[in-house]
Amino acid sequence: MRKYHYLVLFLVGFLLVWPFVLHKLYIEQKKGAEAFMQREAEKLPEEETVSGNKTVSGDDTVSGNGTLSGNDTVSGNSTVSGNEAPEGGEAADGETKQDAEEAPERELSPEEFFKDTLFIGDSRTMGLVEYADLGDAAVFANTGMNVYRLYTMKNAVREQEIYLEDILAKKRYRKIYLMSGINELGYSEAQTIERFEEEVLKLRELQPDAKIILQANLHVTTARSEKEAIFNNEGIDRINENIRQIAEKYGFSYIDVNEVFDDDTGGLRTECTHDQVHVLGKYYQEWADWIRKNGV
Amino acid sequence: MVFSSLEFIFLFLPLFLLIYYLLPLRGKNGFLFLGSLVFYGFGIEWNLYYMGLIIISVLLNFLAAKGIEHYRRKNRIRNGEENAEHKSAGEKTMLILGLCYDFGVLLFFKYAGFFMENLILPVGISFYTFQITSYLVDVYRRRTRAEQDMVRLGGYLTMFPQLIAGPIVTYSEVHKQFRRRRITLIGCNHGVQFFTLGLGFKVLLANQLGNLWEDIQTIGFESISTPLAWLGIVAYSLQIYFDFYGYSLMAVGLGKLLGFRIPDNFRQPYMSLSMTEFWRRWHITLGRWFREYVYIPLGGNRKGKVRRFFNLLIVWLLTGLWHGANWNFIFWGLFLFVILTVEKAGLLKVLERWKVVGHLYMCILIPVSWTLFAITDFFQLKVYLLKLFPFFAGSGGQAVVFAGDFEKYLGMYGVGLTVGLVCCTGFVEKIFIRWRNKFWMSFLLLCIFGASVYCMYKGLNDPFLYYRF
Repeated sequence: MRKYHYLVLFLVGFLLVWPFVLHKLYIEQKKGAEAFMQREAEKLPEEETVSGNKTVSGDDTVSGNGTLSGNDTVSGNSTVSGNEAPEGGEAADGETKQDAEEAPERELSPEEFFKDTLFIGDSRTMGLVEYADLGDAAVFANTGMNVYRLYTMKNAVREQEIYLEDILAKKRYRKIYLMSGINELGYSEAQTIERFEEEVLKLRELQPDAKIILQANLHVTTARSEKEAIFNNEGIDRINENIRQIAEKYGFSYIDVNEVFDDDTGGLRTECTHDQVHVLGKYYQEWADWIRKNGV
Repeated sequence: MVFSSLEFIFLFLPLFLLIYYLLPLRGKNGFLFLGSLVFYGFGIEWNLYYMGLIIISVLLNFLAAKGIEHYRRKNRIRNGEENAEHKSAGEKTMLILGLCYDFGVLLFFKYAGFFMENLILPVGISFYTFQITSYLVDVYRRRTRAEQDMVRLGGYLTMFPQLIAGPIVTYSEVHKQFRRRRITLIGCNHGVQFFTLGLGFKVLLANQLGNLWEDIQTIGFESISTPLAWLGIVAYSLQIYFDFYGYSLMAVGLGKLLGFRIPDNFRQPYMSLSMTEFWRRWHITLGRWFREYVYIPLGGNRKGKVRRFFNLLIVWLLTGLWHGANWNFIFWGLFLFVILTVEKAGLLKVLERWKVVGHLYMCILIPVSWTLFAITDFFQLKVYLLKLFPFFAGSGGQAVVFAGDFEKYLGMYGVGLTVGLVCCTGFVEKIFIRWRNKFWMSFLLLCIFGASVYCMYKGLNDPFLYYRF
């Protein structure tokens, strides 16, 4: 017995976890099969879904069409707060009139532009603060951040307050950028939108003077998107569209940086990324420059 | 299907072992062949061509080896015993035909990778080609008899513990075990212990450290600081070691569970004092293969200095090529050749005399050699090397570097790196061997197993447990 008690212990442990693991494997298998079936169903010719009875997939085909055109967000923008003018920085309409004094002739330096600014977001925002010049902007970001965890998660950015509450209490910001949505894709869509709306309104309440700018979530590459059951570009486009609608409803700004990094299939350009999700360090500056150029 | 997956540990392995233990010896061999093919099937996603490839390899080499013996017998009858050492033309032809097929298939798949983007190398072909050719050559050299039972040969070649990533077992060292092997509780106990240790190295160390290398690639080599570049390549060095070493340990453990002795593949290579020593302790069975079947047949060191130099060059070019179908592997092989030549020319004496110098020298050389190995794109390789050695870099054209990156990633991976460095020294193995029959050791191993299973369980794609962005 002494000579092989590990074997005995091992077998006992093994048998104890066996049912749980088998259950897990079974669930994964089922989920994989469902995702596969769903994908196959989406691949069906579009005419069928149009002429046929509108089933659950009807909802999907709408957003699916949006991604096909690739730049539906641009046309969407014109209806919102008009922050979006690809040709130049001539952003002008209701929303921006409030701070008309800063309609820039010359380009502002990062320090000037991001003065009293707060960035909130997930790992993409972390990349932005680490690899782009954001002046002295405050940042609250962490890998895996989402609207459900805004006040419970810790800040991963050094030399900043740990909790969002403290950052918001510290001072009155002029601008608050929020980019979140991709980590929420595992939750139900309706629930996420509701929570998103709540959180943005709470931000406005806590920082009444701040201009709130909602950022569309960056796409992943098309190759990655096709492999993912949940974290794919259809999901991202859907949540972005929801965010755009929230912005429209309450008069917040909405900006979509995807035009800088998208290829013609509407996914993240492959040369900009290694992991197919985050842009490489050297590209974050382009993102920051784009924000400044667009003057929001 | 890899060993460090829930499917393997909780489905394939128990099912396989259950049936395997119930069968008599001959049935065991057959079931080993069959079960290994099923295992292989998962690895190649049931690509039937690749499945056919391995079965044809068994069949052809089985016939070629029998052919060699057939011509040898004929030769002996004609020429009598006194000429027994002489190899007849028939024997040579059979050997050459067999080798041409084996290496032809391997080269086709390796070289095609240079030209065709989408061709996937059949999993494990580098390993099983080397194994089957060692069998054929050993039969030719009369080190072993030709196997008369194709199922046994198939079992040897496809044996799932070593099919995908070695160790490269030679037929002559295991063939007796196909005829007689004992499976004891103590053997199984050791097997499970080795498997657990290997699993821990792979899942708890290699996988975690691999994340740092992934992170660095995500940032892009242009945007990392020099300290982070070093941290990253050290992490990569540890990852590749514990990945491969862990896998080899698991193979040894599984071998014990099946009643086989699979040779060790690593002997604390990172404690070496020179590259020469390193390659005697790293991937031992590969070095052995190249020595036995390339270096010595070429004349080894018996034909003068120039010839020896040339033989070494051949061996290292082939070693580079064997590791992957990419130019950087050839470059890596050449680099090792140059280092080994310099060491043989006299540096070795210095390194072995002053051990501190040897360790320091290896502290630089190991990460640098793995840099050449890890980065397949030459432009990216240059960028990384200039990050490692910034005094060669000119000014200008530098991307933004996040000043706090080293502290950030050291904070994230410091514990893993420290544990990894400690485990390189052989300390863990010493404790393990010394106290492996103690109850507390069993408890510790069980914790390692539990933690590994937990990591694999969590690592599955579950959006609620696993926020990734």
